[in-house]
Amino acid sequence: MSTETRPIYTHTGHPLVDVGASVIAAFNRRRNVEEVTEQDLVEIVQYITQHYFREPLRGFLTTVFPNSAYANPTMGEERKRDIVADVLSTSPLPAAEGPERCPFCGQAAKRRFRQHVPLVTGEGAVNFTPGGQAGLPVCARCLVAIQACVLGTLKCQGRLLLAHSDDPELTLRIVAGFLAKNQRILSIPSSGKYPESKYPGTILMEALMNAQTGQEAIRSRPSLTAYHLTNYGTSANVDVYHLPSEVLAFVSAAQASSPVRDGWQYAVRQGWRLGLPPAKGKPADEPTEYKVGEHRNQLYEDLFGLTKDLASLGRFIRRHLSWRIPDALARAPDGPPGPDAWPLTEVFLRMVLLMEKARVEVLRTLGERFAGYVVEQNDKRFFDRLWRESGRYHLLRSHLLRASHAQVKRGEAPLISFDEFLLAFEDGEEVARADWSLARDLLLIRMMDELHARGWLQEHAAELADAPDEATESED
Amino acid sequence: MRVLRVEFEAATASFRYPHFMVGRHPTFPMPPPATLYGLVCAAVGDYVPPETLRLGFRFTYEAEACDLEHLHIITPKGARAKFDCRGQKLPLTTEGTVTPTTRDFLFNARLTLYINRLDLADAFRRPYYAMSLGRSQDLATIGRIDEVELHATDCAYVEHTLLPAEERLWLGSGIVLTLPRFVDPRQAREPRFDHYLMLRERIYAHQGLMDELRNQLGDQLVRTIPAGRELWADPDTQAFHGAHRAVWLQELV
Repeated sequence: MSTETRPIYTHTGHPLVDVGASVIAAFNRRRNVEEVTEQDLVEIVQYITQHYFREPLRGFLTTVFPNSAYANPTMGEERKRDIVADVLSTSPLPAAEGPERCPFCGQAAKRRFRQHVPLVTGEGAVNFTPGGQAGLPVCARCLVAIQACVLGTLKCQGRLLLAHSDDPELTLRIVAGFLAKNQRILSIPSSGKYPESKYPGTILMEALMNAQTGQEAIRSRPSLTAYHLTNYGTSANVDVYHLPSEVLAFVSAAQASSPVRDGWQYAVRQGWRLGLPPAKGKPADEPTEYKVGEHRNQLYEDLFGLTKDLASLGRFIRRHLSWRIPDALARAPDGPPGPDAWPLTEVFLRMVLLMEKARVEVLRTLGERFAGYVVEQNDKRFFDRLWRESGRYHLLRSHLLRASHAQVKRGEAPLISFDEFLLAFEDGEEVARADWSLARDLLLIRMMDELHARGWLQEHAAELADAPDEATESED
Repeated sequence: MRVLRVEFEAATASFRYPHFMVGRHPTFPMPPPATLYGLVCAAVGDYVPPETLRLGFRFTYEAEACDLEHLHIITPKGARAKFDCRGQKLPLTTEGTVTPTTRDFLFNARLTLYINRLDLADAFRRPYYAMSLGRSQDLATIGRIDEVELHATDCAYVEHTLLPAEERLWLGSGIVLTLPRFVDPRQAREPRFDHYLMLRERIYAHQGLMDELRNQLGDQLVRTIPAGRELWADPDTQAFHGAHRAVWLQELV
């Protein structure tokens, strides 16, 4: 491609540059970063010059660009002008200027330091760089993008929160949403602090759901990485959160149609309640409206922190998909009964856990069969044992064997076949699967849906024991 | 296809994000290709022509954790800088400031590296430099070194590895990361980056009809490879549903 036709920006895979380029595109109403023009750069530089040197943004910029011309109150006006002319220059460096290349785009570059590129070394430090050269070589256009990226992020708990996807369209849409919020804030003259948001997982999930369109996540399979960073003095820090493509696809599929959508919406509503701070000795006054940035949605936070280890998955399933349990009923005694949990659970198992289809089906079948058995035999004890007394593998197995044996004595088929038992709970004969307790929880979710549909759960809700304490669970 | 297979173990491993230099050093969950190239060069004791290498791997770890470590931030001093030594003013050329920094690391790492160069086996038997997975203290021990004949197959499972980012479209799982692909020793260590799909969960890749497997495992776990791609598997790996683990050999330049 010739120099004349080369776009100013393309997707680089580097978060600060891509988010910044997306800001410039969104600010100038471009459909993608490749459409950004020279004039668009001039426009964003004007906007930056207008807002970065004054409150409410200037104070926050000390955490992003400390000691920069924007944030250093002791710097003289003339020096500021010189630095701005250098840092916000929209003209590419001539190739002859130096042998160094920008690692983001390959264009001619000049050394830049921590005050203009967050989290690289300051001037003079020779660590982490080839040849002991401080800082990072960055080209003029990528540097402008890095300066602009602040406008496509949110201030969250004193840090910069930015979302970056390998799908440039998704990045652009999330950035456009954040940019619109920031433009609204900056359009009101203020000498106060920049508004603060809380709970990064909640903010990002909301932004993601607003930005994702229909089947996109299922079709193009993007993933997303969030960076929560501060570049402030000795407190500099960055937290990185990965959201794999299967989680994005799950979130998209969960909102697609009933009955899965009903379960998702109910789980989201419960998530807001779970996110309330614990009240001291009395129930907290629930707000009439939950606000992103002010309140925590525990479902969103847990989805963002889902590391896919067994403990994390077990906690997620107990917290967000087991809403038919007695203590969940007690949490919302006057609310309408929740929808069935299994449709959403099944999508979660297939898309996020990548559980084998045959195993999902056997868990569903067993849940339905056990519920039928409990209702027909009115065997509350069997339900209680499964629910309350199966924290150890040998206990679960003996409860199932005992109930099966009782069925056979009645002349019925056993409650669970050998093959079903193996597929649901064992890796081989006598060897429990590492996730046997997860399988038991899933079976109970399906069972409770069925018991609720048959009215048995409501009838016996008052007698049902509390949920077992997670801490007492043990992997035999 | 006959390749060299080398197994590494390390109590800790850490692959720093190259552009996060202060405050905290997060780690990539898998070794970037540039790191693996460095590992091969360390064993050989010299730069191996990158165009001759194709690397594939499987990488796992037990847990991720963080620790504080001291960084000694080094700054050169000007000609007039002095320091006091027993009453004497001596020239100060360099100064180091101790900075406690949070460093993320991976615990109990296991790496199985596949290399298309059989002639490098001796280098791994007697590595020229210490083998490490990340920092100099992330020392690695080499276990088995052998040759293996990869089999062309129409069904294999993919797990715990990096693939080219475009493979996400049919695999439908994982996280795309931008990683250093190659750091050029001839060009002042200029880095070249590329986009990779990091896949941890087991996904079955197949060519042709696999209705029985799909019925058993479901559409999420059984994916059809687009036409024109070769699928190679390591026959010594554990078989699941009749499939062995795929090995995805990739070029560095």
